[in-house]
Amino acid sequence: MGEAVVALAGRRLVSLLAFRGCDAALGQALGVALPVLARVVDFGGMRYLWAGPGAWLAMADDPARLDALFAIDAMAAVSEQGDGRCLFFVNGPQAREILARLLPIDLSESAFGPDFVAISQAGHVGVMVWREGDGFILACYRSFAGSLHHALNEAARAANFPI
Amino acid sequence: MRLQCPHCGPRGLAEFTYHGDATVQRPVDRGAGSSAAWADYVYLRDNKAGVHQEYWYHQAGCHAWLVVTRHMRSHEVMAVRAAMVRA
Amino acid sequence: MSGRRLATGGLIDRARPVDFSFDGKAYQGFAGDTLASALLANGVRLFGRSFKYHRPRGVLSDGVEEPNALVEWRDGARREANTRATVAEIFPGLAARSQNRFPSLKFDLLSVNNALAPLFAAGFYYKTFMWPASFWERVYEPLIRRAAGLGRNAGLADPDAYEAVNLFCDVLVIGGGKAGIAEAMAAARAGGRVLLCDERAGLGGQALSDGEAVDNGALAALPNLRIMNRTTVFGVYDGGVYGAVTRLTDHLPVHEAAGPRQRYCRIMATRAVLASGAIERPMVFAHNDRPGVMLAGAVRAYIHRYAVAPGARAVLFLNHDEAARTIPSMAGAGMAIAAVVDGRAASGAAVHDAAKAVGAPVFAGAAVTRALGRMGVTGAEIRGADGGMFRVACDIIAVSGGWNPALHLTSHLDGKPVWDDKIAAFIPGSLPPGMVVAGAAAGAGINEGIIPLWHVPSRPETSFVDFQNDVTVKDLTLAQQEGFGATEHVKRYTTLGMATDQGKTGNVNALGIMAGGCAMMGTTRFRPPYTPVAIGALAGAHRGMRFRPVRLTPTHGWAEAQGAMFTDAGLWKRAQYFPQGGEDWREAMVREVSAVRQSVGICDVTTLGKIDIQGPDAVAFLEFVYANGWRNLAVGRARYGLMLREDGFVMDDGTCARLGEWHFLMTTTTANAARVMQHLEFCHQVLRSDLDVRFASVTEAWAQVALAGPRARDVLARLVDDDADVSNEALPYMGVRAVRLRQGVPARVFRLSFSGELAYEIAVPARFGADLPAWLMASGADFGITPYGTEALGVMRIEKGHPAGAELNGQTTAHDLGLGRLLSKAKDYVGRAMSQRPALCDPARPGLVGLQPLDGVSPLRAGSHMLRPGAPANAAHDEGYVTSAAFSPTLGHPIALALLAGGVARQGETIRVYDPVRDGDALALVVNPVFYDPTGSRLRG
Repeated sequence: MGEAVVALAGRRLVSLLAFRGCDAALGQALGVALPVLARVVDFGGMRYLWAGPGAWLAMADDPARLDALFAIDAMAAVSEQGDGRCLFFVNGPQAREILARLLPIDLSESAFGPDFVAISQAGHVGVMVWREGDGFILACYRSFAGSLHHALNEAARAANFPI
Repeated sequence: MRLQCPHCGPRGLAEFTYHGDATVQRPVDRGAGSSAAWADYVYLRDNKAGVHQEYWYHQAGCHAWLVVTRHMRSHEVMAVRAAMVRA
Repeated sequence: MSGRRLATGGLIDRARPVDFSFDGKAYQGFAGDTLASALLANGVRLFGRSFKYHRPRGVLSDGVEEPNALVEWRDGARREANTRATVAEIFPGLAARSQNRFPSLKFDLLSVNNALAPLFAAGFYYKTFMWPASFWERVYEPLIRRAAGLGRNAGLADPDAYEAVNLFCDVLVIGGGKAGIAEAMAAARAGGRVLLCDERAGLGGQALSDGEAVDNGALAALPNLRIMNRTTVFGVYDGGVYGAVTRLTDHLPVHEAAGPRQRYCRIMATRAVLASGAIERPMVFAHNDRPGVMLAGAVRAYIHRYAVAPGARAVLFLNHDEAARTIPSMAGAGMAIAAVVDGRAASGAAVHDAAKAVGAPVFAGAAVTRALGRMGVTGAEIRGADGGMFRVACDIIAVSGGWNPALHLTSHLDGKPVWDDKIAAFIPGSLPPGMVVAGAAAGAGINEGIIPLWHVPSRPETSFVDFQNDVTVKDLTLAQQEGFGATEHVKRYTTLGMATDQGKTGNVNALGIMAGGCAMMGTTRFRPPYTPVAIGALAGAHRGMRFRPVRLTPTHGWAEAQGAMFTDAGLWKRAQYFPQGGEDWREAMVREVSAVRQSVGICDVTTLGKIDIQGPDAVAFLEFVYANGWRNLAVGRARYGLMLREDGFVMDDGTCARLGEWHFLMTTTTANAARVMQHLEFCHQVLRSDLDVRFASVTEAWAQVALAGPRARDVLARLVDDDADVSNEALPYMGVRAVRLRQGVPARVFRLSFSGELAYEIAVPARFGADLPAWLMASGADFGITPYGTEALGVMRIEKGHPAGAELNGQTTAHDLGLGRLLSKAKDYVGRAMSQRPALCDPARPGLVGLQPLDGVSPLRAGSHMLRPGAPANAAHDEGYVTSAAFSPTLGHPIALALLAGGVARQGETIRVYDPVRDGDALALVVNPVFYDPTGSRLRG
């Protein structure tokens, strides 16, 4: 039984913002059907998170593989984002109860499936949230990490008092 | 108040920033100076007690600019669409 | 003649006695008691003194509608005024106190107000305390403040924790009485998530108060149904959003209470069922506010819920059939029933049968005209059908003028209740989208056989309509006479319905009494909250240090270790100065500025917005959003950019560097980072979707530190690896290079200067941000490299006359700031047309100038205004204001930037700098705003 709120080590993230008319071509170049809805797609050790219309955030089991994305800069604006984000893993049987204190979106099983991703706020901190393992990942801008961590820990304590 | 973002789904008002009237059109710039058309575009607004279109920005979400059709008296939101649709 | 506990019955837990105190006296009750039921059981009748007239008051009801029994609950910082004794659950060790009385509840000096009642009629404060005018602030207001008001605020910080939760459901059922339970079960069985909320500690509602058994065992078996007790849904908001508050530990002693005290629930519900029941109406007759006058339904509740007989001998005054069930309840509790007074000429079978069964006399076509007794009811004066008056001894007058559906929530989104003549009550009219109403809240099953009896006149008369605000029938009459007869006017003129109970027991009676009857006058608009909500519950965790997030730069830890003092820049913490020894801020600033100008220093500039712009049309887009031109900017160069609003005023400035043919990096001021991003997206998505360009915020991806001073290049050369050429030729002013640091880390170097010295900004991926300052300090050790903060940064930019936030205040144009040459004439850009308005180009407008005190020492403060010497010091002669000011260590005297009518054309003039708020008044010389190195030679070497 681990901690319900865990600050994760840094993860390399690369932003892909497709140029006009390039959404499909970008997917072809990467060999994957990039999600057009707010979903996560895994393929060949790479993971692509929808991040807005024509926008995705890419991560990889082997971060070095993300270097290749910079070669397709004729089809998309590519930029490093990992340094600017901090990730938190909220897991365990009370994960949803904890997040209900902070996120104004419906994270129930029926409303937020295993391959869903959402961009919203946790308290006053902007976050991207998706599911991993038996919990949720919250990614925020690095400068907010201390405030978000504090808020998550407080919510974890509050989750001991059921709704 | 909640808005149905076409990309993110229903979200609370705190995620959005209101901009203003979506029915006004930026005058085509012909190199001349200010004019009545420009002053109207920047300053003049109708104040309808009925259905209206307005710009909202999903600043805490997908960063899309949205055109919201809303009734000014009942606050009923009739439609929400993205201002720019990707090809 | 007083209340007592019954030997058996009730829903209290007789196995758990509770010791508590009221006004310092010790009592005992049971778990499950409210303060009201426990005190009634102990024979207490007097609970408080009324707001205006300080009349003795007792308990009227068993619920949130209670207007009289308001007490101070708990001690010290947790003391909460105006707590309704009928709702608050007692716990061991509770100390509660009555309010609004001095020196004691029994003997209250201000009851003299009652004798002076004619002076305190409605609206008296509009007609009195007017003369002399000077007395208002010094005499009348302090006196009124001390004499008025109900309970006392603790005046201390709230020590409790609160929290907020977001809940989603398909059906929200508001109210857990019989109707609510049935609706919740049906909704849960149909599938979907159901939330059932009830104000009380347990489900059952009015049925439990009437002694019926309520079976809600089946609810527990439904996994998709969540029951929330002690939860009040207090508001309906747009979009299917409901606000509710759960009282988690208010019924527990402090040492037993763990976790948050209350929880604010923001509920998003697709549908809602309002099953909130109904609230009983009192009767209006002379002295109907005496302790012992109680709502009939409440009498039954005290008997059945709490096993308390509120008195020994009762008169029942009613005008509808349902109230008759009070008869068997009272008889069963051993109370004598002295009379059943039915306002209807023909009393129905329900009344007659119930009365006959217990041998109680019925008087039809009659009315109670007066409650007798002062500190408590001793009898009732009754007018018979034949007009004859007689008196009956009693200690309880149970009244019921009918029931009002509790439809407040239907009105929160502007729904208007409608009058139903058949049941003589308002029922819900138009409903919030997604809401239906069930049970008594819809008017079902109430007021059978009712004939309205709004007012029993008598002489002399003091009869109350709004108990909490002491509004009488006479006040309503006066309001009408003075022309304030409309519903919303009556409310404000008399304060009817404006107290903490929001008129739950008085509003409808008032409408009935006012000429015209209910059909013509609607209710006032009900607004959230339905019952009072603690501000702490709404604040939740967002208080104190958690009020808003704090943003820390990657170098924050390093700066802290250097002993930096921090300042707020929006949500960011930035190092303001690095005091050494016992330096104060000014000494530190002087040392830091001198160090930079004479040698070299470093300063974190990560907080400035950085936006990565890429795309085939990136140049065309920059041309559109900036006033100046970008086509000829070479790769590897940066340029200052000025951004206007569409109305022609300056919005923001920054630098934009070209990293590639399609690739730019734009910077913004710290304060405007988000606003500029929003603006770029607007310009693209709404105005110029024809352009193919994308934006990514990289503010956080890069840690950025400024390296400034004549030795900056020497330091930089030691920081970068041997392959990097940072000579003046290889990296000229405004150049941009990608390099590798000696430590192997990739970096970008921008040769930009805010200080006016030879300077660079070094950007590394943020994960190296904590190390970069230390690497720079090591590289610059030989040159006495000095960390500097925003204080020194600010002074140096004032010395250089750079416009910054204080000058980019939304009211200045490019011309005002001396940047008119940047306005391109060759292209369309945001703000171009309107910036050419004659008034915005008028040379008489306030323009940016420098100021220095004539005497060389007088400080000049930002916010001071400027006048011609000898001119009257008033707004008509105002020539402008000072925007930024500082003591300049470099020049050795105070300096300032200001916006002066006519601008730099007035160089050489003497101007009076006038600051009456802070006693500033000095003469200054108008000079070139660029105080230091006006030719910029130090920048380009």
